[in-house]
Amino acid sequence: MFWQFENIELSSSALIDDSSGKEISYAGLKYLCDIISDKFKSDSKKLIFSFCDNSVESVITYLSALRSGNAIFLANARMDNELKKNLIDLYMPEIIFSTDDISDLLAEYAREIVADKYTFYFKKNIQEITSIHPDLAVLLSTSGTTGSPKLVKLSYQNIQANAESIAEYLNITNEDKPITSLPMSYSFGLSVINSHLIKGATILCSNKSMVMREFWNTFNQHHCTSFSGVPYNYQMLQKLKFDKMNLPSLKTMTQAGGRLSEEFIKYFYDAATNKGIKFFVMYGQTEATARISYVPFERLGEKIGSIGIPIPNGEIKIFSDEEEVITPTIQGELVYYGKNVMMGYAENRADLSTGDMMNGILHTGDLAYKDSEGYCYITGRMKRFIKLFGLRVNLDEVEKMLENHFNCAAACYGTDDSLKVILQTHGINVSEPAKKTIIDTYKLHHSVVSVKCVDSIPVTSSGKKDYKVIQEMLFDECH
Amino acid sequence: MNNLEKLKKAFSDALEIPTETINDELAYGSESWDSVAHLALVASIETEFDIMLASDDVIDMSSFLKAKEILQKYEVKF
Repeated sequence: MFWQFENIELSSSALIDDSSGKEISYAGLKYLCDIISDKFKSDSKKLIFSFCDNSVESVITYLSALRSGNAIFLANARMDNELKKNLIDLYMPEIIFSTDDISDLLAEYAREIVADKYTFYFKKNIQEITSIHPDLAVLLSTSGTTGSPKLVKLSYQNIQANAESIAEYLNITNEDKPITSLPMSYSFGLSVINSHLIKGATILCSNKSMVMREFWNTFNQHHCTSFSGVPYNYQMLQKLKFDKMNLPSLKTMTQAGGRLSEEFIKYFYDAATNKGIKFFVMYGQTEATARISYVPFERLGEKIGSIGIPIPNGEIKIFSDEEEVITPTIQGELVYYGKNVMMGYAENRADLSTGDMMNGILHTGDLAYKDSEGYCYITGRMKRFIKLFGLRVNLDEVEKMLENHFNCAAACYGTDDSLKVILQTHGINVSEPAKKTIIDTYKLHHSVVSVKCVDSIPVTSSGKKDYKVIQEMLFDECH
Repeated sequence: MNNLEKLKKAFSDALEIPTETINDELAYGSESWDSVAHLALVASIETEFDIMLASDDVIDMSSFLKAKEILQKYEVKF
């Protein structure tokens, strides 16, 4: 298990604290984890909430929870207090770690500072509440900072299996040095940490943002070898003229967390080729711990638009009407099989007592097909269909078509009598031509289609299109 | 609208905050100014002043004050 640091050179550097520049070896990390774990010890398994960022303290608290056999929920420290309070009421954690002072929220907890800089809140009166299942290791939210109480339950086996697979296909070694460019409360961000610890690599723990100069100064100063991003990070990087950026130590960059448009993939593929580095386009879901598939870099040039092949030890099947589709290019639901499939969802404390409900099978809800070589292509979401005059319209397909046609981000929302579209065009008005394109392509009546050009499409903290906000925005438009 | 008002409008639009709350101290990381908003802010400033920001300036634009300094390089006077 990667949190035991077995078979790892203990004198090598494990974490670098970006704020102080201090390096912590694997031996030092073990020592710090023992001090913190000691605080978590008791007769029964406990739930720890961590309102974390990418600080060394956040990483060590996470590892200490794993090492002491307690369950930990990793939540974004930037979540607002009302949402934090709501989650605390629902899940009744015995211990809370927070990078910010949240004493005001926690009347029933006693504050204690451990090892000078770790602020914990311990519940004063622990009543007999539902026990926590022995397999449960980590809880993650699928919605970022919006604070939905629905959490994904991950087992020790889940996080270990996914870390092993990722480390294998990315060929991670102890020479690697990633920078934490995504929040660790986000499954993709956490997978970067897990898959590097398993190989004894060095992680630069930073809270800096990829859009600020300090991030890149830090990256170069510490000779980092990789970073990871979601689509909007790559949109920004193109704006920063990534192909001309001087990043001599960079070896690998990875992208997941939503569809990056084909034009961007092409741009980064060319830039990576010129720089002699590797660019991985990947796909996953928090429900699969993080990763489901990836495109091997050698094949990216000919597989642009594909989410690739299953990760090592995983399997992907396409199902249509409950039957497996064997014929290439026929579309159906993407179903994933692997040891990294979650235990199930939780909506409150009582749900933490149940074991695995999934049996290693995840119905992703994504529509996809395989090509003749087994490379998968996502065509849309199963639930994002609307029926206009009896005609099935795939909202994701409309978005993809518009994005490729007008070279800008697009988001659709629809009911069974209207299709509403927003385009992120930064001030250029293409509403009329876009509307005409939709009407012509899908043979729709002009009265059911409306298009609006905006400066930015709302996204969640993990950078995915925020359909809840988009829906509200478009709903307001017509009332 | 003078240039200061135009810049405030660009910030207000991108960060979705009232213009009255915008001052020199407003910096990246505060209010709603995160990495997503930064992309929108850059677009908003480019549209408002009809310029194209160099990549160095995009990553240096870490506060409202800094944005004013940067824009002077593009012959925008305050």
